[in-house]
Amino acid sequence: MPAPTHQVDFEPIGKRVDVPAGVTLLDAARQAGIGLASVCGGEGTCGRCRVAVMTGEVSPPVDADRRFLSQLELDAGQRLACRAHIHSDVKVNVPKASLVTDQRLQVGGLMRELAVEAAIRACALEVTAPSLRDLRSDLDRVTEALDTAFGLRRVAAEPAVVRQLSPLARQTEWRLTTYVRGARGRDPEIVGFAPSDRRAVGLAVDLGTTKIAGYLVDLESGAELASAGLMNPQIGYGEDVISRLVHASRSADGARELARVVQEALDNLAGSLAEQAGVTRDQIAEACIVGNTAMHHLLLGLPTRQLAVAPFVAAASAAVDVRARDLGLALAPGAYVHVPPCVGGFVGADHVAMVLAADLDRADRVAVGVDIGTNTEIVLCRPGANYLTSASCASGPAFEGAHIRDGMRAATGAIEAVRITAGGVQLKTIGDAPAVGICGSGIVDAMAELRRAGLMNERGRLNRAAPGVRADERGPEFVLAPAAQSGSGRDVVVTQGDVNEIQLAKGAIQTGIAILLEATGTAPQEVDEVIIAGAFGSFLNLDSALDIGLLPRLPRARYAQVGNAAGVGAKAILLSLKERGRAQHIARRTGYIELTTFPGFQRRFAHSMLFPAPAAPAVAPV
Amino acid sequence: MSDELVKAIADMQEEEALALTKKLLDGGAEPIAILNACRAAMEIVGQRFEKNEYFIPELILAGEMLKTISAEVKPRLKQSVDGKKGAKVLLGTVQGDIHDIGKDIVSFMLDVNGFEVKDLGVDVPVAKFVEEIKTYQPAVVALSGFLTLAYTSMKETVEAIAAAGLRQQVKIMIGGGTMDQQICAYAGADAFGKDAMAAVALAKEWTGAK
Repeated sequence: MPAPTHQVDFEPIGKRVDVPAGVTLLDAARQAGIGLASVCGGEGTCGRCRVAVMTGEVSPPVDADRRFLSQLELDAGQRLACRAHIHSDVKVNVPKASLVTDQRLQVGGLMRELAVEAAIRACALEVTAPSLRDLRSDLDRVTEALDTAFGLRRVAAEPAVVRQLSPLARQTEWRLTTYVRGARGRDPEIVGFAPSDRRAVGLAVDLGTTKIAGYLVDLESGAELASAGLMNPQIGYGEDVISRLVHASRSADGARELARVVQEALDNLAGSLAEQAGVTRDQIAEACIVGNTAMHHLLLGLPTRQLAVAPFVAAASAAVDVRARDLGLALAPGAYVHVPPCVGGFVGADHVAMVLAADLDRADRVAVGVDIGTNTEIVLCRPGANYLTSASCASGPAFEGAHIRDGMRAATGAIEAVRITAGGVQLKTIGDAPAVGICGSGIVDAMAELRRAGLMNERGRLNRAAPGVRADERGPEFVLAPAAQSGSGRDVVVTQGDVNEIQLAKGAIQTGIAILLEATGTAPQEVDEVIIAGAFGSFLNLDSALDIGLLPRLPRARYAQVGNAAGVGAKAILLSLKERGRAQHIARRTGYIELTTFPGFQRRFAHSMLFPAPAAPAVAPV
Repeated sequence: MSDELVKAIADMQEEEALALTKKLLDGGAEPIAILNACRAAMEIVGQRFEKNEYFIPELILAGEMLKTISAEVKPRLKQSVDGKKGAKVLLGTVQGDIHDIGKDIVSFMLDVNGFEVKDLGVDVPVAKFVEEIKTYQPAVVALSGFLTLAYTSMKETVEAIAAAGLRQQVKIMIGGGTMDQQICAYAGADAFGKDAMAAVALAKEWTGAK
């Protein structure tokens, strides 16, 4: 007898899904393709997947529910989706704050001039049609035409490409564009065909732990034709890299699942970018995907267990070209995805791309590059020495709004700026909507302001006696927006737990920078330039970041917020074989420091979790 | 004055705590009295952590203070109470995990409570535990870990100890941020301790120490 199934109705999204009895609401949400937030990967430890059961029966609340939900909330049917097993048909309300969609995704970045020299050459051919006196095969007549017209010898083609050729040749009366890969190399290969007027385009992707940014570019001119951002759907399996690696290493199914969801997302991204640019998918003749080592391994289906535990080694880190179709991407039938090399530890190709885009490998100054994300990569470059040193910090997703009681991503209604004055609290929200939560830039502001206003001490403890601070059994909290003014009908607060999370995140980054400086014998004042990359970094209030010690106290003019440098680098690597070579070079000569085993790591980390005195001078003596 | 030391440590006044330690020792105070003050202070820190009044920075700072103070005290202690060490405890963070904040505090607390502690450090291979049990002959083995992957390492370590025929001669406790009764059962350990105080209580119970 088959196991009974129940229907789960997710509102207000209006999605229904049939699932076997006994699975959790989180599993059901995953199956329904609903981006329900789950920081811990469904372990019941993050409290982000709260939903309200409106009708139907689920398993009774467990300790994890009580940890995050008050009795009042439990009575109202609120539950953690990952702990609630389905016992009947149920109708569930998913609050906006529990969803991971609808936010501001930074895909822009500064791109400098680049000599385009793509791996793909689009060769327009007029091929002699077959006749009774010319019985060469379809493919032979194309390769011979390539030889005659372009001097390309022994061009290979896979059956998948030939399947495209024969019908298309007849449809276009043998006027074809042939996308040849490696036209300048030793082993040219046809990766696809198109009608003669169709240019070759390329897909560049910055595959982040939390966000994915994609770009479609013209492989001849280098022009950007379309760009888009979306959430990494693996978030449903855990927001940080370790929980995802753990999920993948527990079973072969887990690994396949994580690969599948991200591949599907990338395929959809390719489709929507093509639509936006007015091209067809089979014009996408080449792709380049950059990501940290964990994203790289999960995408390629490489073993992850050894990456999740000390000493954190990659299964493979060299650059690799894989068939797009092997990654579930429907591009030109023979198209390849170029995956640039990783550096070491979690420092991956996204970091290489950032270094490349920011020209840090050619810098004539002491420069630090910081790509703030769920995993934060830092690079330090010293002039003359031709020397790059990188480190990776497990900063966690707190700056992206996760692990924070009222945290959310940068979407409408998110508090993005905070000022605390004698007159009270002033907030700026995205879209000037009533506050429903707080995003990364807002939480950094809030920390700086709480400290400046004397509501929080050096160790980050909120002062229970201070005005505006209240305490319940879970500890003290500060009200940013009372229920009457908020958009959620609940108080929007900063809790002691939130401060702790920010301390962990900022402490990790601050320690990383300090250790990199020390390991390279660099005094902070010697740093001529600090490049802040990544979406969070673009919106970050630098003054607040300096105030809380997240970034070293240097003159403001030395800071540059460059947007998504990794994405820009991915485009450059896609567009130019020379840049591809440069990426290899960067990866090879970038030293990697494992922070956690650096002498004195613990003590530095502890001190980096402290908040500096607010009266510090605006700039360091130069 | 040792009350002042307790307060200085518990309130994270590091410089004051070190100055007081020196002053007490120079004034002829018993080294053991200083360690007792540390122990009392750590209990307060533990309670405050439990109540969410303290967080990781305080734990790490306290741990570092203890290290500095005991480095100051230990050489003098040897002379006064040599050879009065109690039961042996073998301690380490299991394979694949490098978290040691909690382990270091447990190590210190066991030490000041009279146990002879051998700390194998972090990322300790399964075979290393087995080998050390054979040579060091501890009564208690304490496995520390923080990552979820440490669960598996703990299980493997306990299994290897059993396979080497050593399971009967040691009591095994586990501890670390996310450990609980369920993981204890999974790993096949004898008990789990939620903090350093619990670890000391377990070790005392198992070895009959007072």
